[in-house]
Amino acid sequence: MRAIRIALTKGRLEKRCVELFEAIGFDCSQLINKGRRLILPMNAHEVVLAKAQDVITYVEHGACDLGIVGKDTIVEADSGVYELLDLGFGKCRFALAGPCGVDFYAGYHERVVASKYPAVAKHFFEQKGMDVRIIKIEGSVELAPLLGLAHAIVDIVETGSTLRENGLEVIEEIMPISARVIVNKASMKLRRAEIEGLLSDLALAAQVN
Amino acid sequence: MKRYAKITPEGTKDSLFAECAAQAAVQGKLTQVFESYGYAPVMTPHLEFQDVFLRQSADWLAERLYHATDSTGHLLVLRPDNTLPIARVAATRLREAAFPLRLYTHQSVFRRSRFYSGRNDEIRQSGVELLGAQGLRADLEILLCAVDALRACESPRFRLELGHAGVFRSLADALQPDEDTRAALVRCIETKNYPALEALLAPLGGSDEAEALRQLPRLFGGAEVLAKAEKLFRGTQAGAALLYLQRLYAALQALDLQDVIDIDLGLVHGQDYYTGFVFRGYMEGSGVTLLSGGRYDGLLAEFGRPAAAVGFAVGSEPLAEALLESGKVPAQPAPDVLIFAPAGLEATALAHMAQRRGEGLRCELAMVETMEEARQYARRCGIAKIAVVAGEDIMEDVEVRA
Repeated sequence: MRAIRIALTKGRLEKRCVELFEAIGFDCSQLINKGRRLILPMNAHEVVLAKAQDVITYVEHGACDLGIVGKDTIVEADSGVYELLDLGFGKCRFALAGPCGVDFYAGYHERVVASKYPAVAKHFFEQKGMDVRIIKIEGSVELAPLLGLAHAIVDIVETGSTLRENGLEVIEEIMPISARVIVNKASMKLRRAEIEGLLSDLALAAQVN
Repeated sequence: MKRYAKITPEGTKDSLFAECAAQAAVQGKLTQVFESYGYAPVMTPHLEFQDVFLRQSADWLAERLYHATDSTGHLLVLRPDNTLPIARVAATRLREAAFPLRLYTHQSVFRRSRFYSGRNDEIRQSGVELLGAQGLRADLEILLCAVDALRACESPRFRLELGHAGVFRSLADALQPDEDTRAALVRCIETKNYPALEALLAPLGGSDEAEALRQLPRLFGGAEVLAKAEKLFRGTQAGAALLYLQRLYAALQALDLQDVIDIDLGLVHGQDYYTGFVFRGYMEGSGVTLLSGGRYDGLLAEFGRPAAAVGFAVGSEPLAEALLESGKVPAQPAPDVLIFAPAGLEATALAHMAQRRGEGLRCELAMVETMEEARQYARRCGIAKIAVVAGEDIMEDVEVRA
């Protein structure tokens, strides 16, 4: 049987993931000095580093058994994976934000909302029973209201300083976000003992961290 | 330029040669198992009226369906599921047929998936439905049939997991959540999302039912799960479903199947038509659900013939892929003999070929003009013998040297 494969999100969550695995006594030296290799050994496991969306894709298809990824990406992807553990780090929140002092809800005009997370934005306004035009933006969403493309944005907000620097403010919180452990459904059933062991170690380490 | 004339739609594909042979081999093996249990084949149309699938108990989201219209403008769909059409047939055309009815199908279902998700939109399925039968006997038959089906296909290590629709239903009913909350509960339990489940249950109070729901996604594993659940479900209405699962599991243990069957009390189907035990199957090397089924005692009544029913469907494509990978699908051998006839003797050649085919030989008619070309062709295709037709009754076999 092949080694358990773990997909980790590159970037923001990477360092915290390494700390977590070190805390449960794994040898992460290969992860730290990865060079150009794409599949890295960590004890008896194999680790890959991938973009957040790809972590979900690899786990959903069973190419990786387990992944660590932000709740923001999970909500947007709406995939069929087990979401088993809240690791409590990588904390931020989804929020609706717009120009300071402007009442987003006032008036009867059509609203345009820019977002990197169109599914989240759509669902949020659907729940309010509001018809909103959503435009997908790939990069710095804060630009859209500044350039007059949108009335507001739906985005992840960590400290809010980027918003403030651009004359924007949070209009409404949508949901809290943190790093989660996801598991492929078939892996969970076929390799239960190994995966449950790993999960309980991670849960314990996340509490201590 | 007609760009779309040369490709197949996203999520569909052509299957060529070995893939096709493997698919046929799997279907053959499954047919053998299904018929050995007394099931009879049926086919239903690819296109059905949308009404067959849009029901209270089986709400197919519009975005998952492929739509079309008939010549009067009625909405049709490519069937997304095989159970509903079978329920329709059993309740209508087979109205007079005595129960129990045992039916099997080998037919694709069609479900839209997100673009570039890499999923199949045409899903090749095989399935059985046992209609008009209830209780342990029928449920065991279906479970055993599923195990035998997977074993017959020599699938790699597989596991079935067993749950009961009554567990979630009775617990949720007691809490009386609104429709949205109920759907969110299903979603959280299905994805074993503990944190979100906690948050959803917090406002619903600290009753026995809420506590049981909170633990539901954790209740998976072997026999020990049933004992754990027994304590947890005390004081709730979920006891009846659990008691039944205990009986079912004991019977499976008696059949020595505990090594391939697990319990997952957090198994909740998106399809609400299941009323009794439910199960799913997974196979090593395939990250997706391979097999899915259970008891649906309310569905036939929706089509006008109240009756108990149970069944399952298995994706034949992962089985075919596994069979192909195992190398157990023999490659198609070269023909035994190449029939060559010069111009003017075409009809005679075919008459000779009919005779050879009658002898059980695999023949190929040479599409060339000269013996030298025939020899080259035979060599290239690995055909060991050429039958040269030289006249009405004249045929000479020539061995081809590699």
